[in-house]
Amino acid sequence: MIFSDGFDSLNSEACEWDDSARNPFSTRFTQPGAIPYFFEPKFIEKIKQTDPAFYIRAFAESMGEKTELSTWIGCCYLANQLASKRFCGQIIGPHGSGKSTLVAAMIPTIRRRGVDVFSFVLHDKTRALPAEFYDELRLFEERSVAKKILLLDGFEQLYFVNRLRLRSLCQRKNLGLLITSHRRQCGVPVLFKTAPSLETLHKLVDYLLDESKILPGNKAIDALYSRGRENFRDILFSLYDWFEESGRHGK
Amino acid sequence: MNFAPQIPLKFDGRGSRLYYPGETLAGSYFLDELGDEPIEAVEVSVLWHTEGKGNEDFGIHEFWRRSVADGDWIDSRTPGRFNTKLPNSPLSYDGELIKIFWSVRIRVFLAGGRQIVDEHPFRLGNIANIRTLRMTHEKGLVLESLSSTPKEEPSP
Repeated sequence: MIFSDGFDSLNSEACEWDDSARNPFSTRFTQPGAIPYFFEPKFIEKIKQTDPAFYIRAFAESMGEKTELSTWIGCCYLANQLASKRFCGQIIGPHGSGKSTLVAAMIPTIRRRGVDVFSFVLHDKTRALPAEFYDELRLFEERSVAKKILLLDGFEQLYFVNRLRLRSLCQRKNLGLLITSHRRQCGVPVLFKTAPSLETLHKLVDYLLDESKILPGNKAIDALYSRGRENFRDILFSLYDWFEESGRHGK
Repeated sequence: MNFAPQIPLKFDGRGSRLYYPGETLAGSYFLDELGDEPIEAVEVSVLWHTEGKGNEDFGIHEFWRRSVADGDWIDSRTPGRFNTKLPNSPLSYDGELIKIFWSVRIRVFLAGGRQIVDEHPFRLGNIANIRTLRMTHEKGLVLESLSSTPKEEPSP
């Protein structure tokens, strides 16, 4: 950026300060919604082979969207699957494997089909739906949209009775239900199982570091994967520490 | 991540982006590089946010909105101005677990529905970052151990 009055050096100095202070593995950059969900290449390849017409359509749709092509195609496919199952489905996978990131990435593709989404996250040890959930749900119900979906992240946190209550509430109010869970929940069709690979981890680290000249090295990433396996959340925390300790100094 | 600015901004003052609590932060932003698309509204916020391993927090210190719909005249050829007195806290901080960033955020709403957002960082207060503090501490310990080393007895 060049200022006509000679302030270009000042501006660039400030940006350098900002860049060096920022850790690309901060929650700000790694939280669901901030990063795309990287599907395994074989999953996208399978979509391409089984339904080429859908693939081309999704490819064309992705042009106006600010997201990774494979993320858009995979999410469109899952949104179609969800629609075919009367808007009832679950995403299952272990801790930190990207379930929340995937559902956050799916929201725009679901909304594109004229379906409104009410998203709510249940944190650890939330056994009953809090009062704020019902308050927000009431506001959501007032919206005049033909079809509505309740997206509940962390469904298995609820007591069994509360899970049954929630499902009956959805049936009563004609709401779709999309949930994430560590284990398969009875009566809800499984849309996708998150099990990210080492290749996906490399892709994610490349994405986060982007133009950074400082890289942790493939061996370090492989070692983190072999230790953390599918828990990408913990791996990203380790990379945060790595960046603080040595990464930002280029050691 | 690319933090390249799209909306140029010039802070008034002594030519540094370091400010102290109670000081006035003022500046001009320039919209003439945004193209020919008419501007519907411009929002300027002076805000802070945290970054780190945990949940984020943020606070808006000052906010201004100028909108054509509200009868404001927005001319992209004329620089926009902002001016605010900075608060006492939170001070900018570059720690390991948490960092506090201050910035001026400019959001431009174009007639076609597109939005352009740009952030210009500045520092509030001059707290040393954690690495400098640690180095100072370690250096102090070394000096302390050197000063407490018993001197050699002079040989008889």
